[in-house]
Amino acid sequence: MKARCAGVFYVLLGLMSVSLFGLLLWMLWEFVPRASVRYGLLAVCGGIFLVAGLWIILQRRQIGLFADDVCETIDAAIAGRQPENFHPYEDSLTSKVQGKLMQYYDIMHEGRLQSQRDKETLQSLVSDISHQVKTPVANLKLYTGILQKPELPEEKRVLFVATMDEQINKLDFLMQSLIKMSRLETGTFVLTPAEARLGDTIAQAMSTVWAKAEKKQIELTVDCAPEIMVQHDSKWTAEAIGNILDNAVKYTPAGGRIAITVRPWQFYTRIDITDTGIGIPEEHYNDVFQRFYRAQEVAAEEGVGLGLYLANGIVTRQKGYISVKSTVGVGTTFSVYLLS
Amino acid sequence: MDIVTVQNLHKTFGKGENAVHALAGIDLSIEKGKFTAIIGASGSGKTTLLNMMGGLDTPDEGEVVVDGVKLSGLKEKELAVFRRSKVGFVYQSFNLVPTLTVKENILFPLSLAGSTPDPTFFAEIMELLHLQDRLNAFPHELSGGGQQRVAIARALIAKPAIVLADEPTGNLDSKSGQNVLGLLKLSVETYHQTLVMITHNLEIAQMADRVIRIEDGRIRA
Amino acid sequence: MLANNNLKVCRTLVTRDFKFHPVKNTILILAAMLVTALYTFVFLLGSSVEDGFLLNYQYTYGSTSHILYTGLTDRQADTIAGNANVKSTVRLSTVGQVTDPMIGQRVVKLAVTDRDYAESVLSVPTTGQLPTQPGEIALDEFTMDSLGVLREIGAPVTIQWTDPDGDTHTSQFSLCGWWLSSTNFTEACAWITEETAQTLLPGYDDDAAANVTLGVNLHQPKELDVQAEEILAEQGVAGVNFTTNLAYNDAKREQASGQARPFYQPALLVLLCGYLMVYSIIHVAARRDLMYYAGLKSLGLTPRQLRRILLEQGCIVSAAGFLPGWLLGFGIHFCITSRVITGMEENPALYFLTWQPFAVAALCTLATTLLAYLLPTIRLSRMTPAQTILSATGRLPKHGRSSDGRTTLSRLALRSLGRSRWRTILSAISLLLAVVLLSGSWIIYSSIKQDLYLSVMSPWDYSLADGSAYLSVQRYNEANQGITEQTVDEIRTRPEVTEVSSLKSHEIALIASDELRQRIVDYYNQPYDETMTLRESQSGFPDWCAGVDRLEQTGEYTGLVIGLDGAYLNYVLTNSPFTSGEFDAEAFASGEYVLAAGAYHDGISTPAAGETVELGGRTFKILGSVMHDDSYLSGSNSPEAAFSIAYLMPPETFEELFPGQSYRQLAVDIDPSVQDSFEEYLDQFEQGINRGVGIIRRSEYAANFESARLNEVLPTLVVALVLLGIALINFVNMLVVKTVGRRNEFAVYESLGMTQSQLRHLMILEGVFHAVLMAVVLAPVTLLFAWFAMPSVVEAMGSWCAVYTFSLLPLWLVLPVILLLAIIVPLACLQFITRGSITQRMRRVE
Repeated sequence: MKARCAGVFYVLLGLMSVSLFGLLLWMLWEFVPRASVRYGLLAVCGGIFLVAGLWIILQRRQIGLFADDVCETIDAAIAGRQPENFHPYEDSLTSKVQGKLMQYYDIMHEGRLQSQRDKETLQSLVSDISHQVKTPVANLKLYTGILQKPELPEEKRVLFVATMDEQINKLDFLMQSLIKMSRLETGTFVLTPAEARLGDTIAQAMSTVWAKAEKKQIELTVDCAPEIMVQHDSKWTAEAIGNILDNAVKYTPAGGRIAITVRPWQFYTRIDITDTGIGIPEEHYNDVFQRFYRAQEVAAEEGVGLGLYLANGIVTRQKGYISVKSTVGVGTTFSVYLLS
Repeated sequence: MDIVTVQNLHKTFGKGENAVHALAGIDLSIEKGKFTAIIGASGSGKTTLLNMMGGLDTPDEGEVVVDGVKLSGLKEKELAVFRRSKVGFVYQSFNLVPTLTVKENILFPLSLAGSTPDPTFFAEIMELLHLQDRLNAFPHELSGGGQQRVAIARALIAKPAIVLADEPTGNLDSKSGQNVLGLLKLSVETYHQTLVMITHNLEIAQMADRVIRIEDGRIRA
Repeated sequence: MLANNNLKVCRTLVTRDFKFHPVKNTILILAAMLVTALYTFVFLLGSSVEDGFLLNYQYTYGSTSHILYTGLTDRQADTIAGNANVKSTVRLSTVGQVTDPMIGQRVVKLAVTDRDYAESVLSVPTTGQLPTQPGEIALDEFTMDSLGVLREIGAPVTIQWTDPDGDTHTSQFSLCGWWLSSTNFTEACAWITEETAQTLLPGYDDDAAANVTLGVNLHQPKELDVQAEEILAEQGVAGVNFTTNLAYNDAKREQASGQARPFYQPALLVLLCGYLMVYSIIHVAARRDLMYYAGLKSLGLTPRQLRRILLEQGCIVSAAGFLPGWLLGFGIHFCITSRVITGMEENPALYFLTWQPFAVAALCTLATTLLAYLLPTIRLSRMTPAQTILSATGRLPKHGRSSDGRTTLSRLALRSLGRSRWRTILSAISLLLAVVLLSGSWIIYSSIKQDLYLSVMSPWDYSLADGSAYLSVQRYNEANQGITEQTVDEIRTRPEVTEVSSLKSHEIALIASDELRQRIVDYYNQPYDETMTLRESQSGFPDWCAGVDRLEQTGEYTGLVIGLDGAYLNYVLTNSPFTSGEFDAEAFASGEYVLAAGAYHDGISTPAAGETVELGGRTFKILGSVMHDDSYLSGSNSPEAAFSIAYLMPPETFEELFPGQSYRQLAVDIDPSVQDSFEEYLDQFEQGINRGVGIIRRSEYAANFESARLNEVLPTLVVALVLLGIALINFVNMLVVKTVGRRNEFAVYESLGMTQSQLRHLMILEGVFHAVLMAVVLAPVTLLFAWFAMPSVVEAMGSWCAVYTFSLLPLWLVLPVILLLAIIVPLACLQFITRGSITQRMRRVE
């Protein structure tokens, strides 16, 4: 339909130019008495027509070149090479379209790379898991072997069974963490954010470390206005805060203090978890959130280095972020920013 | 994959006795999709480095390659196209066009390129940065944090290869600074953008994937 | 390459800029308005002057038609009008010629009304209208005065006239309109209707009657004589006389544009000062603008877009300035041009009004504004944003010269001189330009000497000229009896009169001897300058050229016999250097000798001393030959005498040769103490019977001189004054920016313990230093200019009444103003910026 319209238009334009030319001729012959002037005027008008024609030809050529360039770019993208006539920073339509095409190509390419990376992550995860599981399983194997010996005295058997139970608990914890992590990494992790009281979430998180803190005689305080409501997934957020708290309890010497303060801001609600622990050196601020990171100083403590990694993952998934500020020997503040 | 490569960068301001070596041989590369923080004291050459990466300034010596193109080979008019298509800037002083509304400011890089915005993308960014309600206001009617959010939106709208932020929280109080920072980080992560941020605040730098320290125009390992 | 279509955003930026900075843009528009006004004025003035000169030539010719064919029949007129080269024609049918004795020698044609023709000969009634009813007649004022017709519509007119066959008639008419005819004094029309013509002379328009005068306008008014001949040849019309219009003579046109050129020259100044003005206004906010553009550039504004933004801004600013600028320019033109072009009935500002100067002014304004806008972008486009910001915030500080570390107020003040150097230089330059221009105009003004002018233009107190020789465009009619012996006697006997000198002239045809002919031809063929001979230099005067040609071919030439005595003779002896022989009063008085007077150029162009000449049948010996300064002659001679040799003799001898001829002019000197009573007498004399006498008073010359002297410098003066205003505004602007820009610095000073009075002291010192700096720039340059450049400028004016006079008055007037501004402005600014507490002010730094 459009093409037909354009066709009609071309015919109309052609007719109009012919009739205008005719009009010109008539006017020249009718009103211009001098032959030289008449032909001069005719030549000038002809010249204008000619220039207009050339102009159109030039424009068509330009459009043709433009189309060629675009096709060439697409060909190059298909073949996965850099297009030859690519001047990315020329202020022209060609480079504008080329730029967009390249951007599209890059995004597609990036997507492919991403899925490849996911695969690699999964592989490394598997190897990590097998590595982490190796020790407890080996231990269990060992104890099972010992327990199978019939001559084992009863008191020893009880001891070994208790140790085995411990190992199984550890394995369970590890498995739980690993499952959470794998779901986090592979994105099969469903967060269901809902408007909920933040105080409840914090209480839930605290309940997991309450006993440990009690044991180490660590004072736990919370400063949270009960009316603060935040859009978040209560269960997982409690898990994240719990992990941070767990960490804090772990690295705070007995008799220390852990304070939780909540400050609602314009876009974020800030949850500060301040401990009086051993602190993190500045250069390791980043590392603490890495998978399986264990600081040298705390190698003695039990743990697998997944807690903060998980916490960071959970908070980031909810469009929040965690920052850390610490002074070695004085204490550490983890700030969780939840989008309100 | 490195989106920016900087090789042996030198820059000197002034002459003779007064010469200030802002950059004295910098080599670094920025990985695509990562958040890199550059920290250092004031006068250590961070801003100069950032300017070079964004094509705002030319080095005396050395080479900057962004997205596979050497900047030294570009003329000023090509650099302009480079800036509006490959780089999103977030300045300490916001640098919004005072005579344009918030919406016009955000769409400014696209207008300069003569392109039309993708309405869904635009709406998404507006929602992410909480700017939907102030679209027809002028920058001076917004708070500092608000202005910086506009600047962030502007830096992202053209889907640039790299977002350069020069002390984005420097002119803001710590509260709105954290707010803005969070949103910046969030939006950069949402769109898998590469972010290079100058700061002298370590607390902010810890959020980065990588931290580069600059001292007296050199990178300190 | 298909260019990216991304200029729309520029439009938004520009319109927003106008919305957000209304004050700056209003000032810019005002500046554009001023520039447009000045350009409009200059171009209007220039074109008016040029047209004025051309109109003057047309007046001299008496018609605006390119060619006038006379004595045609209707059919001949039709054929000529049909020629392809002819654009339009006007036609006059004469019924006869008015031969009333009172008319004298003037030719007044009784003609059928033809508005087109009347317009072409500038004879449309200015009072009343052209005749429409039978019996009506329209006349020019000279004719009316001659006939004694009352100046009121409907007044009865009795005319005696002669038809082509020579029969004399007397007819009655009623007056329906009249006009002042200073133009074709020797030839005029009396308009009647066609019906009247038919009743007066039935069959006057018969085909055979050769009574048509045809005014022809050509398509291309070039080489009129050749074309006129060609048209006749092409159309096969023979035996027809024609004359061609002087105003279309190429040399005349060139002469006119040459004379108008000085009036166009201020356009260059307008360009310069307009540029400075717009540039300096834009520059006020240069820092902020630079930062703004640097910001835009960092967001990816291409140089093309930057240019586009500035281009659009410039265009809008100029376009907004056009209309008010045109009006203002026309206003100035209206007030001033009528002073420059004098002697016109209508206001020349309206009469010569065309659209072209407005268009040219608009174009020039656009060019000026765009220049001011775009010139800085050349630099700006090449700079990276970081460089731009660096250039806006200033260079890195330099090490100060080692000093003892103590800071005095005067040292602080002195340091401020070095700040914003460009701005200081800019304002110094514009001030310098203005002062130099003013000095130049003033020196020119004071160099034109009134006494010199009067001693030449009116060496005597009063000049009485015959009615036909009153104006220089009039042709003296020898047969007129305006000033008779009676008149002379009457004036002589007046008690106030100390001396009366008389002058008579008569043209006679002479034949030169071969030797004389050769001498004169050789004389005129001598080189005038590198490009042309003396003869070629006169190509603007076709009558003169025809006269020389005639002499060369046939030896015939016109001799102008002049009888003079007293003051006239003295004038000639003083102002006309002898080229041969010398004056001998006794011999001259004897009547045997005459003085031969030729061209005012070195060498003998006449019979030399000792030779003889035969005048009116008597042979005279040549007492001597002079270079004739004939500016004392009133009126002009006949076209045949355009080239002539004047022979001067005592009045007595002249009377013997040409008895009964009356006087051409009288020079009267009086006792100045009784001037009033003589003036009274003259007034009576003028109003009395003798209409045909023109009186020129010396006081009129003095008044003319005053206005002419002012006019000489007026265009430059106007521009110089405007420029001075701009320069002063620039200067004030610089001071304001320097002071206000240091708001924080002052706060710091105060926080360190500087008192308010010390601050004021500092400001005054700074002001004085600035004034001194300006004086140091202005005074020597102006002095040098006035001392070395101006003498040659005055000389180049080529005015005989200009004597270089050294004066620096404008400088002495401007310097105190500068000092005053330099002190008052910073103090006022200080008052303004030291409001509020110190900490408040210091905080504003950020």
